[in-house]
Amino acid sequence: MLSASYTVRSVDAAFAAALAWHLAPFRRASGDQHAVFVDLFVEEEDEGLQPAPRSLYRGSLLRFKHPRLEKLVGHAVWDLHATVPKVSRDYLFLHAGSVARDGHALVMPAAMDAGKSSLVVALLELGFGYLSDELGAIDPVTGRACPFPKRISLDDDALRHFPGLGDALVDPREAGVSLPQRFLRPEDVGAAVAEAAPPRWIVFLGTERSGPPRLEPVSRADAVRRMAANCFNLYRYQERGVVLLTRVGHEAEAFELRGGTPRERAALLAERLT
Amino acid sequence: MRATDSAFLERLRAPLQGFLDEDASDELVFSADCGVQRTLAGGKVVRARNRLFVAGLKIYEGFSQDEMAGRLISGVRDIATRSSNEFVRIRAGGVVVSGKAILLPSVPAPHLPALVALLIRSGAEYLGDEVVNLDPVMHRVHGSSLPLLLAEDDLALFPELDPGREPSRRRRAAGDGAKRPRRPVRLEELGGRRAEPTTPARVVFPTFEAGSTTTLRPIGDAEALFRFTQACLNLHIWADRALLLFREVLRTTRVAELVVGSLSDGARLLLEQMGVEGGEPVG
Repeated sequence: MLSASYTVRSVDAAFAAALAWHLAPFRRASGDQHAVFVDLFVEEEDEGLQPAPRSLYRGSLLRFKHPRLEKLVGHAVWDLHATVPKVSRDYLFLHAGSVARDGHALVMPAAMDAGKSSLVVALLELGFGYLSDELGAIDPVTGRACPFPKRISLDDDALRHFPGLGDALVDPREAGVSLPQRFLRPEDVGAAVAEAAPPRWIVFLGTERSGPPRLEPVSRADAVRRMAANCFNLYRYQERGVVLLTRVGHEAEAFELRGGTPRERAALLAERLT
Repeated sequence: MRATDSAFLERLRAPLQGFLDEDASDELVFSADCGVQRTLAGGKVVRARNRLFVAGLKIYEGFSQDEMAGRLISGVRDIATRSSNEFVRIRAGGVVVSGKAILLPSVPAPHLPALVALLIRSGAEYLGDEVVNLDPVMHRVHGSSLPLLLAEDDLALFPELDPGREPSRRRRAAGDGAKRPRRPVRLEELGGRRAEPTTPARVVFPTFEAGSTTTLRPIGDAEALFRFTQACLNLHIWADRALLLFREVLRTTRVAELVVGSLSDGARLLLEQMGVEGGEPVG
């Protein structure tokens, strides 16, 4: 997962299969000596309990303990993805959805629940390539937005905007691991993972959903400030991170997007961002 | 840090004074067993054997507390820098002369810190003796605030320093590997001062060939890029992006190879080269 490597070991085949499905986009051809072990097992002290809770360790840290498989899978998926911007120090991470078209990246910084994932899905339907629904990973050397192609997480509220899509998904729900969210692969909507690309457009997602979609320009200075506010690891890059964001802001056009459903928003972006 | 001999802790106090944390957690990483000197029947003295452990793993065993301090600082530096992958880490010396940084990337070379120390004694500001961080955004070299680690057989070049105990012939024959005795030397002992992060103006690849004529000579682009990647300590993280960064750094600096037959001559040659450039733009 970018420069974070994990080796998963489990006493439960269903857990291993579910993790293998979720982490398939990041699967390596060979092992990594620097990989952190992720282990699922029943600890000795819990062996007599019915049902026995299973412990989930990342490295030497106990991350979660629960008897129910779906809770363990859900926590493992969340934990591994959430850990990436903390342990991968070779990228500047924006909390952002990101897609690409014709060698240019569209990065959409936003707070939680602003509709990043659903807008990313709608853009993939319109022919954009997939980078991430959660992380805008900016390479400090080239300034490009790099793919972090995790499965796209959609809750029931997001799926409501895509009638019929839930039935077409092949996430592990059918394999007996039923998580609250559904998970989409870009190929489920006829899209593919894109190559790293220089950001040409920065679109900040407003929280206002009412009315038709509106795209309003944002000044470069304000864009840099708002990207910095959505940065996961600016504390690590400090002034160098601001310099990098300034370069990104200098090369890109910046907008704020308000109103509209995900598909309406995507249609506006596809039309306007050329 | 814990030790069975408070004198060893006191010995560390000076080189590590800026890092002292009296309220550190109980998570002890380094343990020094300083041994006990014994006198056998007949008056034969058996010197104390020192052992240094990091998280239970022995990383030093020998008779010199100076050497053990050197091994400790080397271990501290590894622990402190190995996860700083927001930088491209380079095995290199680095100094700043007249506001311009010289970067000296190298394969593991026991005499590199002494070359850096000689430059410092001649007025250069200090970035690092064998590990520096290269910032991939602004291309500045960031240094270390840990003491230099000089090979004991280079201490003769620094008469102002307490030479300590002469390494035994057997220890001198230990070669250029991790067992070679080294001791920490504070920047202040060399009369030096630390440099701010600085963009490199010159990249010089040193090779140490005792007895050869010390020369500064051109190096081809491909060879320079190869030598830079050889010196990269986290190439597994930065991969091809490191090559792009190195190529850009090499493109914007003066690049050469320094064959070091004599450390003093090598330092003098580097300073002369920087002096020739004076305040003129470099690149």
